[in-house]
Amino acid sequence: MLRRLLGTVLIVLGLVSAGLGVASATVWRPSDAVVATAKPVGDGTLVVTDPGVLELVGSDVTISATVPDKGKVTLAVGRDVDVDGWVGIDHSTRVHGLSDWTTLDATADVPEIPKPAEGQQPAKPGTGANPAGNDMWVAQESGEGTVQLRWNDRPGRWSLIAAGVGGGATAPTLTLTWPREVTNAWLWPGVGAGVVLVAAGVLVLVLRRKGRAAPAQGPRGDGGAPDGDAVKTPVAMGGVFGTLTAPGATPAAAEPSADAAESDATEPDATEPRPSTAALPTRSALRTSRRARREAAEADAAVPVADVAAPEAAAPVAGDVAAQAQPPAAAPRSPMPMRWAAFGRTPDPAPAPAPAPESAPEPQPAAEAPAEPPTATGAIRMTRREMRAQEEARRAAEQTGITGRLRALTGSIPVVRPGQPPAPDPDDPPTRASRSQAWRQAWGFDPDAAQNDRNDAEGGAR
Amino acid sequence: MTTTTTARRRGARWGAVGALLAASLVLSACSSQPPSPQPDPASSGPVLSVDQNSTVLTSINAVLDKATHDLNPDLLTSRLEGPALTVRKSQVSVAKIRNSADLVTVLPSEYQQIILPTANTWPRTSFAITVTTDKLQPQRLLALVQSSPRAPYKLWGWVQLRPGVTMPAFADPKLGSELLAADDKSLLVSPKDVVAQYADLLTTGDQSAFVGSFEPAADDPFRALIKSTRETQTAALTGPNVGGTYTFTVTPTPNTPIQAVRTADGGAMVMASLDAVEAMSAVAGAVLAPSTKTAQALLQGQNPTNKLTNGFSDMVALYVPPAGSDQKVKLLGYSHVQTSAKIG
Repeated sequence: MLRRLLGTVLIVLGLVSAGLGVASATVWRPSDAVVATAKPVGDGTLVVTDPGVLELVGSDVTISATVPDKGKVTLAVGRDVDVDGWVGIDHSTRVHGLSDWTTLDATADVPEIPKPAEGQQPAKPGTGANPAGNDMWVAQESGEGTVQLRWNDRPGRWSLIAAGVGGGATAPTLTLTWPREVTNAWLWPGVGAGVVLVAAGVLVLVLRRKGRAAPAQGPRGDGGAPDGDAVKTPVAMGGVFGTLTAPGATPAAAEPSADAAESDATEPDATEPRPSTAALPTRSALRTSRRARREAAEADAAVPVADVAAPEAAAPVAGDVAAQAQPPAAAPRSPMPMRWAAFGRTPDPAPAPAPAPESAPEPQPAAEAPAEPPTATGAIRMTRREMRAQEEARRAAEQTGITGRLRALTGSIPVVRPGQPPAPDPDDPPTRASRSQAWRQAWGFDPDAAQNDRNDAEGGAR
Repeated sequence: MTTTTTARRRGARWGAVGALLAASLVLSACSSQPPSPQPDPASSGPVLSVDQNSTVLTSINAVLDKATHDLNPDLLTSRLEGPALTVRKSQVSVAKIRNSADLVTVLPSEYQQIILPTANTWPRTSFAITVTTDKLQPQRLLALVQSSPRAPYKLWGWVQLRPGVTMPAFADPKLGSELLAADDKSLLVSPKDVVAQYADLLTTGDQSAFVGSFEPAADDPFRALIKSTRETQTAALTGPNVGGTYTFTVTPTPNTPIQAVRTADGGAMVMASLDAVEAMSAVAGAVLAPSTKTAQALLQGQNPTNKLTNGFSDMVALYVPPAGSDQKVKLLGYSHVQTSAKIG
């Protein structure tokens, strides 16, 4: 019970974490710009920033100065000593930094007036002076009403001077806009942690299931349980990530076989390699069957009488391939019930009766071989098998249709046919050599085999 | 056994979960304190970048060209001041009278070297050395001055460098050179004194008390020029039938600053303006006609008499070695332009 609770909590936390990570990069994503404004203070017509203010948030700043009534305004950036020298004894609004993220910290600055030389009038601060056009500025802009200036930080101490120009001018309102580098720093950590937590939660639930399944195994004595479990764990592990892909894989795997089945139906001539390959839940099944078809066609073209030797040579091979294909064929289908079980929807009566048999029957018909004479002589037994496989493939194809998908969705297990235990063909138990030979042939790895095939096809004249 | 391990593992997991939740909360509370300004440390550098200085020079050249083209000396004040303004104004006025800009000094607009100051106060002076042009213009050393923070840089003066001169080395314009006060003590002779001594040297020739500090007169093209002029004129005016006099007096221009900038070897380049007055007289009844086209233009409409006074606005650039050096003060360049003439 605790485990179940823990697993559920972990999954929920994982989802929350991933959600937070995503939210941090979307709804909670901070604004792309910092916009800070300074209202003029005091009676000066100048606004001056301290060195370092322009690059306070980022090296790229857009400076905007606005004066009321379409007055003239000038923006200029220069070395701090130059700006201070230019301002001289004029009153100004001094910007020292950010008081918060939207307000610039500004104070009124009233410089001391230096003592005049003997017999001279003391200097008087002026207003409305225009800094535009001075050789010292490295960037400047003038205009009426509102003026904008972009500034990219460079080495050195830089100050900004914003001036309301002319008689009766007022100091401009200064706005600094920095584009902010918004990194989605929390996105992937959040999502990653979420995934890990969900995986951990699922693992906890699965382990719990396994722990419970183990004692149940004895009474049931199925023999299928351990098998099912062995498959189960890895599937459940991968299932968290592969949830979406698995259902898709099932029809994909089945389609080639359906294809092969069709081709078989239309071309009964093509002999036994196909039934076996039809059972292969891989794409190569299609390829193999095509090749077989082509070769068969060649053989047909060469000699009207179908060759007996070739099928015979291939016969055990084909059967073996089918046998080998059995576990993989079962794998893609079985996860569905497992997964649902893993999520705890059907906690108690685990549908242990391994779903494997249900999908496995394809190769079995190899064992029972009711004779039914096909077109090619000497291939009677094989043709029976083929017919049987064909039927199975057809059924498999049906399963992959809407019913198959529904089953995948609901996770309910259809009525299990009273299938025989999966047994290899008792007639010709596969040898290791023949198995590997079949594998090489099926995947086209063995040039000799291909050669043999051709020889056989040619030797059909014998 | 299973339970204990699970419990322990669960504890660890709950810890991790807690940490994650805390991190998420920190994430959502991202409204941190705004940063405070962290300006680069104050460092000495040139007052202008080379690009800015180029802009200044371009602007000055535009004013020079326009004034010469329009033959309007009043246009010059926006970008010229000091001795340069005096000389140029006179030159443009003479050109206007003569209706020809032939005698206006050509100041090439390409530069071989830029010397920028590091000053944080005003006035500030930068220098530029022009290239030799294909019209055989000698190289010229220009001085540009910004007298106050709100003033533009203005052409303050220029000299033509003496042919084949080896200029002292200066700091790179990206680093900037130190400007020196007129009474700087780190030099063999302070800038103010060296200008006065050189003026005396020009006035009194080899009899000056300061000869020892300077290179020999024969090596100094300006002193050689003045000396030969003096000898020629004196010979002509003090001849048996003329009975005249000739004096040539040079004084530092009053109320004009002296520009001094540190060279790489610890010495200085000093640039100063000098007023030279050439007074000539002959016996009564004799006529002293102005000999140069400039003087003729300046005296246009006046009848020559037996007295003539020519005024020159001269500029000199001197290399002053550092204190304790056994080198001599050396002339780097000069400019000798008549800017006034007076009958009587």
